[in-house]
Amino acid sequence: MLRFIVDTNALITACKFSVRGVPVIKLIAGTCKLIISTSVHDEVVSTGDKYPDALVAKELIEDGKIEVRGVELGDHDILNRYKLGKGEKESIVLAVEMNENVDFIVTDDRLAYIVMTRMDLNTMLFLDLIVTLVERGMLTRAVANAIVKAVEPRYPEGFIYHTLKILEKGARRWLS
Amino acid sequence: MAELKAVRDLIRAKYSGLKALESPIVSEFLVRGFDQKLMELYEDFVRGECSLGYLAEQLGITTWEAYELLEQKGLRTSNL
Repeated sequence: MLRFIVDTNALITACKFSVRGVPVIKLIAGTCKLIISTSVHDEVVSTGDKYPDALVAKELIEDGKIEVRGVELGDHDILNRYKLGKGEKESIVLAVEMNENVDFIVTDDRLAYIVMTRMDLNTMLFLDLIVTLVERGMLTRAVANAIVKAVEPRYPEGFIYHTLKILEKGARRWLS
Repeated sequence: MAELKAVRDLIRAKYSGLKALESPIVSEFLVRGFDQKLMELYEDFVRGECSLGYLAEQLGITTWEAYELLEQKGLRTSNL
């Protein structure tokens, strides 16, 4: 089973949008292993009672569908020089520590994405997580299409169009 | 003003126990100070110079609250 570390930004995308009343996170949680760091978890817990989206994540954590991994966020000189939040920094440390025991780290934040890529981590956007699940046969193309259309308000137009094209053509390198 | 309502509601929800907030002037300063800081951080966020998590931390709120706040103010919640 594929293992993805997700930061809060990606988790919000997955929890906030639904397909026919089912939160996207519930459509993907059973198809792969989702892992979050302690502070990403803490934010879910402290916000869960206020926002229905966070409550969905809270329930999945309690059901064991999302794994919470403790991580020691030391005084990391390099990470501290970027304007990242604790959740993003912890997710990066977790990915570095887990090394080959995790397949991808997922974020929808531009700065976090750049730092993760520079750290040579297998980084992807939430949209690419959906594509990857289809490529590995964990998700049907129809469900993936519905998810991409559901999360459309979250992304600039090009990201959605490109993703739908990837799903349609079955390959990533399409120029038009 | 309408655009400050989301900020006002958030501050009320988080700090309503503080005695000083009973003063309308202190409350107004807080709201406007918070909003100014939010907009400064938002500029950094949309330029990709800080993350949403960093923006939230600097304001003393969670990333979920930051997302909601930006959305209520009609601002972008993504810096992609």
